[in-house]
Amino acid sequence: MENSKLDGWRVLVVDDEPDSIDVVTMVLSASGATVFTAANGQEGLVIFKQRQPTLILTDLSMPEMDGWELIKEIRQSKNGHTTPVIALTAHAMSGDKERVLAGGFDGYLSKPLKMFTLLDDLKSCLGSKTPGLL
Amino acid sequence: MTATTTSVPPKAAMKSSIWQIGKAWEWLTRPTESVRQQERRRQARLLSSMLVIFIPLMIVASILVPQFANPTVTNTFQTAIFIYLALGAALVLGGAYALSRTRYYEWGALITVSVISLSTFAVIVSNPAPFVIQSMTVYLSMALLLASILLSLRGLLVVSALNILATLIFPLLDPQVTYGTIVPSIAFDIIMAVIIALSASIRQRDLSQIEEQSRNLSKAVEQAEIANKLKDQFLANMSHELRTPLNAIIGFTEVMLMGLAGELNPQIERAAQRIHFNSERLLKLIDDVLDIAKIEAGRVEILRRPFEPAELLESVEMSLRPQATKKALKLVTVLDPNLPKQLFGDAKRLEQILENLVTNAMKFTEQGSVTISLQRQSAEEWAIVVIDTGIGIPPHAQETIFEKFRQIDGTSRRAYGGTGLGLAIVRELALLMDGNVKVKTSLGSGSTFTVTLPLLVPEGTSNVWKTPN
Repeated sequence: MENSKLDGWRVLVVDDEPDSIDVVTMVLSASGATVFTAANGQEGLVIFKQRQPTLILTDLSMPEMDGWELIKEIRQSKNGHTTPVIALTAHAMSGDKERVLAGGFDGYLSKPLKMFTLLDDLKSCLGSKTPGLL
Repeated sequence: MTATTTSVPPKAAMKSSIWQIGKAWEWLTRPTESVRQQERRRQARLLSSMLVIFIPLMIVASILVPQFANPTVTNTFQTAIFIYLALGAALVLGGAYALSRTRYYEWGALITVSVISLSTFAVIVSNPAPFVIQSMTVYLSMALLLASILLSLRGLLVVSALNILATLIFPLLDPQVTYGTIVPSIAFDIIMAVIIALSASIRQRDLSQIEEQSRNLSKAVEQAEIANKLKDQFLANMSHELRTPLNAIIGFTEVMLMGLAGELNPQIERAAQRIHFNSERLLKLIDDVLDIAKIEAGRVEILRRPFEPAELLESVEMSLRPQATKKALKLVTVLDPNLPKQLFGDAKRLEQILENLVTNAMKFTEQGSVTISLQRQSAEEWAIVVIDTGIGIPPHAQETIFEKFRQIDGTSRRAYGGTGLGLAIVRELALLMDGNVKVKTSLGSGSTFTVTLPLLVPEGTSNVWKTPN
């Protein structure tokens, strides 16, 4: 599947599960995005500052620094309050979605992620926030 | 992004001093206390209020009655002292009563006891007529009763003994009073002391029992809460732990099927498709098991919010249409012409009921149609009806199909697949919404599942006519 839906996008994927990172990276880079990865919030924050990604996908429960702390740090740092951040989590209990949106995330995708529809799901998650997407 | 910080409204600052006084008042008058303390405080208040009314009356009466009974007693100085005494006692007793309503009820009761004892003693000393002594002992007994609230049984007996001793002293103080005249009053003292001691000991025993019961009860509640929390935690963890590996399995399989891992030869593609199909099945099973577990743990909340029923039916039809098309089944939604634009209910759970019923219907229908409808039964009752033209359910199985992990028999599970939890979830959810589920079926020609639920129509909602397409 060759396409360039995400040409020019710089996506940071933060997850402590290497498999989760790999599979998302494969789909995103196949769509033309440049993907940076990090295994926890601490690393994610460093890479965010170095690379200034245009979109961040982060797991919520991670060692060192979790997704909740990461979003706080990102929102406080330079350029961080406008970067779209989407939470990826395997917690699918009711009320989680509200908690995620209240935590400052722009959207929420629950694991297992659907690779077939990942780009569409991201798009509907972000809504009007990213006119450049797709 | 909108700022999420909230500022303290200025009104709150203005209110705070009144609020603090209110808090202090509450702290003073509504202390957190044990059953025993609550009982003591209640009784202290009861007795104090009785004494506040009776003691001043009694003191005034004791001034007036001897003077009528014995006109030679006309000492105005003595009378003035009694009036001061009565006023002072009333004042102190009023204060003591007020105290008895607060967390310092013990002080209130103590002051009441002292005032009664002292004033009674004073009255008797200054006017030791047998009549007065006998009427005084009644009131002394009330003091005893009050003491019984505050003191242990042993302390109570000491107070009774002192009381009797005090009565025994009177003949020594006044030669007019002989021991013969005070016998009834001493007898009365003793009987009262015994009755009070008995009732106090019974009350103490009852209180200990109540205390123990309430301790056991709160311990049980605490343990149940801990157990529930652990169960919740376990469910949340299980959900997370099961989904994490599935995320990789489904993800990589989809990546393969998308061709992102290179060109697949037909055999590998077919293998990947089977992995994908089965991992989706596993995911559905995990979701169903967790749903059932959550329902059984009482952790599913039914929300009652306005939703659009026509939209709900449409979205269920949309999401299940691909499966129907795959089996060449007609999927029909019939909209009641009187269906209101909005209803109050838990749209997410209703959708779950519908999805499970329709999935079940399609599973057991090889040809023909599955019809979905929402019909009004009465003013507040609605029925979700799913009709299929499938194989039907034999009579012996009609009772058990709503049980967990039940399908008609083992072979049917292998032939039709599924978790066997769908209908159990439907029934549990229907019960949670104060509804029920029924099935009407004839072998070979199909089944009709009807979920009847109370759903209110929000006020001011217009009925809409929506033609089924």
